Amino acid sequence: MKKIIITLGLCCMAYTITHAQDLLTQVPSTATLVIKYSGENFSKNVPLQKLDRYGFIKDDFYKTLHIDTLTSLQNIGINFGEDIYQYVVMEDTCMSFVTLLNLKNEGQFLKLIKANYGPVKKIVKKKNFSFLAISETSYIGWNRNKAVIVNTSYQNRQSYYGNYYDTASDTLTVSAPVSEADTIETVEVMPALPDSSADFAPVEDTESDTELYRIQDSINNLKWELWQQQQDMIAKKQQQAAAEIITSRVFSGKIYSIENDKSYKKIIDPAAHMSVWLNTETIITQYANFFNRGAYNILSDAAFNNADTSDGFKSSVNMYFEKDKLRMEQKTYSADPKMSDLALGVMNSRQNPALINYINPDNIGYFSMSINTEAMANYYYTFLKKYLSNAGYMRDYAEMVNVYIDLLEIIIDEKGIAELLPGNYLFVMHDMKPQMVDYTDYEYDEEYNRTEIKKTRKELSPNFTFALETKKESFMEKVVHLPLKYVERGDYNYKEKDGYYELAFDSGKYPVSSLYFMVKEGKVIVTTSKDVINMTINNTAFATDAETKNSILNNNYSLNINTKRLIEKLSTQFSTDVNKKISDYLLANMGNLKMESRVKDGMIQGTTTLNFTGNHSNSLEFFFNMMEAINNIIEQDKQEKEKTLY
Amino acid sequence: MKTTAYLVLFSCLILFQSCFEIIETVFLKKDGSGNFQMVLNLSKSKTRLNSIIKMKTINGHEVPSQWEIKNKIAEIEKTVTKTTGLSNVKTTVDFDNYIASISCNFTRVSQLNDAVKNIYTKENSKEKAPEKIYEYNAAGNTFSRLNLFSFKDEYKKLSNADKEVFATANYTSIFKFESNVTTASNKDTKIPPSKKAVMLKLNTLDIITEKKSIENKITLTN
Repeated sequence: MKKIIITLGLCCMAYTITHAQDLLTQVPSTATLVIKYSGENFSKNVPLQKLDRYGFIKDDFYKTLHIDTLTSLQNIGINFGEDIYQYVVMEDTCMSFVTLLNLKNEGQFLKLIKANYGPVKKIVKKKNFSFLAISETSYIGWNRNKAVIVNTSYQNRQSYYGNYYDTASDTLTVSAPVSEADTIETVEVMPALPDSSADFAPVEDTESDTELYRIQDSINNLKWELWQQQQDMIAKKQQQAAAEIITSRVFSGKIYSIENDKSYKKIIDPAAHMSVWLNTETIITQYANFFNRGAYNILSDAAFNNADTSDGFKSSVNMYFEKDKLRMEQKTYSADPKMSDLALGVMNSRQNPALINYINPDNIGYFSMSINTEAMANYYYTFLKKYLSNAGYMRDYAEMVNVYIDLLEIIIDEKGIAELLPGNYLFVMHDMKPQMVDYTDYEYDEEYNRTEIKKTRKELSPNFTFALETKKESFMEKVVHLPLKYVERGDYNYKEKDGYYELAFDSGKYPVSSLYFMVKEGKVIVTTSKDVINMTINNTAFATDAETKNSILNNNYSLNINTKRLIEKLSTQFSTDVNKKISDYLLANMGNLKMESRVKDGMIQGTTTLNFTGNHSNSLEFFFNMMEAINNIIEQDKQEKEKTLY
Repeated sequence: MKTTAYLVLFSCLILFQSCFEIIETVFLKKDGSGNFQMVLNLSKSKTRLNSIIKMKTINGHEVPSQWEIKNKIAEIEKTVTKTTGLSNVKTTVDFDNYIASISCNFTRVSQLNDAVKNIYTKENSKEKAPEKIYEYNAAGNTFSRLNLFSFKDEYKKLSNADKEVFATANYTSIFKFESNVTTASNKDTKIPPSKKAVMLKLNTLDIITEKKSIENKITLTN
């Protein structure tokens, strides 16, 4: 018997531990944004003991959490060694941002809550968990193993004026939206006033009329205030109901988890140190609505009532805090083959090798983009139909919108656009060279008589090239030739030279002295560099390195920023000690930024890497070290300045 | 556009790291009359200003157009012209070099105080204008530059980026006289061999943080 009890006990413990480690099972499939923070970050990459030692964590983060500096993050009850999840979900009429945490010590967690919200707040004991309303929008639920923090916002506030004018009866009523927790309730706010204009003839204003208007104004103001109060009450009730539903679902385990969703599994790597998954097409609308939470009746207008059942795009970023770099893998995927084909069609393009010739070996950075313009235009028709037929007032005219966009598709010549701009673009920041700029200063003789003198100073001037491919050279030639016709009227210095055009700026007046335009052999070039123009005329090229060439030719998007070179150039312009110290730190620790994106395994996939140098165990530690160092430099400078001030 | 004239011009400066210089010149005759000139020189930042003036806003600050700046300067000129005793009021603004100036003649130093007071009242109707910035005591043979403004609190409220603009900015005052200068109370004052003038060149940050002062009491010979 004893053995059976021990076995049962062990099974329960094993279940609890397993359950505690798997918070993904508590993230609903209806979530539009899911963020995972791997437990490895604070157990291995930057252990909590180390995190405790950072000054800015003690000074700022501890203060925010209301914990004293002697307490360790290890002792606030949260199990940072396990994965933490955050997600956004539209529950009923509320949009909620939910945080799921594993707990290792309920008592310590309770102490943290009390330190932050005081003993006055009433903790409600529910069936499987404790529940605390921190404010009208924030709620916490927890048991021995886990905690749920819900920040929620009501999205269906009704307009006073809409209801006022729509109500034909003598009473003004407020209808609360239907939720799982509430049924429709009708509350009488105030009997409406009879229409005064019907009873009173338009005679000259008398004192009694003025008094009547004053009373009427007061009543109207009171009604408006009551209406707002009622809306606030509904919002509070709905927000609490939504938070309770979310929390109780987590503790009852009655959730259809996103872990079973194909689009989640396909693009999220469980081994990533941090991952972000988002439903690209709904997240932007929800994000906008969150910041318009006071907007009236938003739910009846926006994309929440999306009638389109086709599967949109889901995107993800998997982040890895590696030893010498931060690596981010981006993926975009649609389970709908039609949508997927459209996206893949857009990426069915390859950069024109002739454009790569403009990348000089020691450049500061470049960005290359190669997309299929014709496919992009076709994608827009589908996107517009999908978006407009579900948005606001357009929803009722979905069929008309469909026909209109079909007509647009007939009228617009996608092939013509694609010939003009096939979709290959390149921007190169060759260098940032100091250029001499003159300015006016004064000299004084021994009697302090002032004489105006011209001096010069060095200022950084960007040296860049923007090149694009065209198959309609004659049209582009007309475009760059056009400003010549209006030189006198436009008061600018634009000249046609030997095979190119120059827009010259007054010397020392602008950061660049000239901008050159050229159309040649299917390329349009806009540049500040005369060398680039000469190179194009003479059909020569920069000796671009093989790695850059491969990156551009094998990817639709390729970006590289030589961070050290950029900081070096910018630091020549910094005048204060604090900026110089920060730039020195970044120079010693930052590496290059590189991004590539292309189609891989039937999906749009990209990799971004930020390298670093210096003495850091991994890139997560690098970020903490960098924040600490910059914070110290600023604080030190502030203290020195304070000394002079007081 | 009811912000102060200083702020209109100043917001331009605060938007970007730049150098600027304020030059204040007074020529004082024995009878108490004279000539005043103030120059704001933003020439060192002109390439940035040329780009920024084409924008509507930058970092949340509104960028005044050339027309608005000209209008503001014209308003100031109008206010100064209306001040009793001041004559030959001239303003200039050069958008090629970004240099603005205002000059006038006065018959009594107190008229300059009135002009400053009028400009201040027009821009800050709710606040009390400073009574005096100059004082001439003919009997005692002293000319004083007073400083009743304090930007210390305003400065503390600025962001670090905004504070940076003052690090490289300068203030220069040149006062010239018919009589010889005997002493100057401000220890940073320079006096030429002829003793007919004084010059004070300070960093604006030192003035704002009250590390140094623009106040100066100059004693003249009879």
